[in-house]
Amino acid sequence: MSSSSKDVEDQLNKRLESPHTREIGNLQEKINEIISDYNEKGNRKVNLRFKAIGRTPLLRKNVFAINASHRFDKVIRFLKKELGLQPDSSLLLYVNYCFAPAPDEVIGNLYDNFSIDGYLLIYYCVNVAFG
Amino acid sequence: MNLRQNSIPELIWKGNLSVEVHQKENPLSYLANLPRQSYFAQILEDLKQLFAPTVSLEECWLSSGKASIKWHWPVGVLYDLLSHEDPDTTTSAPVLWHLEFHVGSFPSSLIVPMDSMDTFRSCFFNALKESDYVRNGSSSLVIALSKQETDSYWNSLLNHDFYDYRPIATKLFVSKSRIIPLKFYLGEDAPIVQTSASLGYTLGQVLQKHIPEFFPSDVTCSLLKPVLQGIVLPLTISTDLMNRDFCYPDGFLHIVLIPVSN
Repeated sequence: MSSSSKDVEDQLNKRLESPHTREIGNLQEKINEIISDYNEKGNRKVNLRFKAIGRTPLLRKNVFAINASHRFDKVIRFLKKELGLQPDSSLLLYVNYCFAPAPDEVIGNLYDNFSIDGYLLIYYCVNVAFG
Repeated sequence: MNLRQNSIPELIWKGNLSVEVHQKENPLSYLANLPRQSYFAQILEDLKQLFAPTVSLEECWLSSGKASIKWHWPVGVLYDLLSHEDPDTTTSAPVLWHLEFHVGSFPSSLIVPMDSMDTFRSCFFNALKESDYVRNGSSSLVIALSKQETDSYWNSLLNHDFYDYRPIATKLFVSKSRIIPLKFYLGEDAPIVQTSASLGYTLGQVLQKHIPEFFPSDVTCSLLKPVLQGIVLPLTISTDLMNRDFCYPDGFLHIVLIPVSN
């Protein structure tokens, strides 16, 4: 290693040991710890209730519990399987008959904001119900 | 219609980010100033035409560092979340956001492929209906828009036209709202806390109520601080003011929480 890059290395090592950097390290650690707790809390179960719109196949059972940390695309895939549909077939899901969540929305968030009487109500149909 | 010159909403609308997109082993580069109030979905086709004209749009995706870019999230939100910049730290160097364009090996567990602008349009309007639902208990205001208003709003996003955008945004977000929709981003790979708050409170009170682990105090930031539209907000700001001036076009207040500076 050349002498100038050794100097740089020495300087970097000194900074890594400084109290300032240790403080930043502690801050990030504390933040990560709390985020870890949040992720744990996300592992609760929430209830979904499905309702068919129009000429759509019916489910044998329409109430399910799901882990709140899952994303909405999991619900879409699950429902297609329950209805015996192909993975690439068209199936549209609307929360409370109002809006279709993006596939990456977290179930827990949808439940916390839109559930009614302990259920997240999801309407489904194979054709577009409304634009 | 009363639009004061250089009003906050207009300043926010004009906010943009300099972006450089490259592809491995390709000498070409895509350079643009992208509005914060826009989406990567809007440039994906142009990027494809430049880097890989013969492939299908669904195979294309972008990354910023190790994060894959969600084309259906506003550009401004993605920058606040992924750039690891602290707006309180001023630098003299100009900002240039470097992104990489990819074809194939689509990270489908992380992002959804975009097949057409129709998919994006549908996604955008559903997000708008979702935020409307939080405000009004149903998506009534969005559904009540005439076809002309809906098309005008969509075009205002595509053409980045403030004068088509603002009257409809005001009608949807400001005129009747008593409850506002919020999304708090705890970090790049961290959860999003989605919630709502009434008018007449401060941001500090909302944070203390909904994220007390990070905000034990409603007046001081000890671990994280809130960034909205690239600005570090004081905890004393009211929900009224945030809602009136700082909403994104989908009706949400997307607030990224970043570590406090030392």
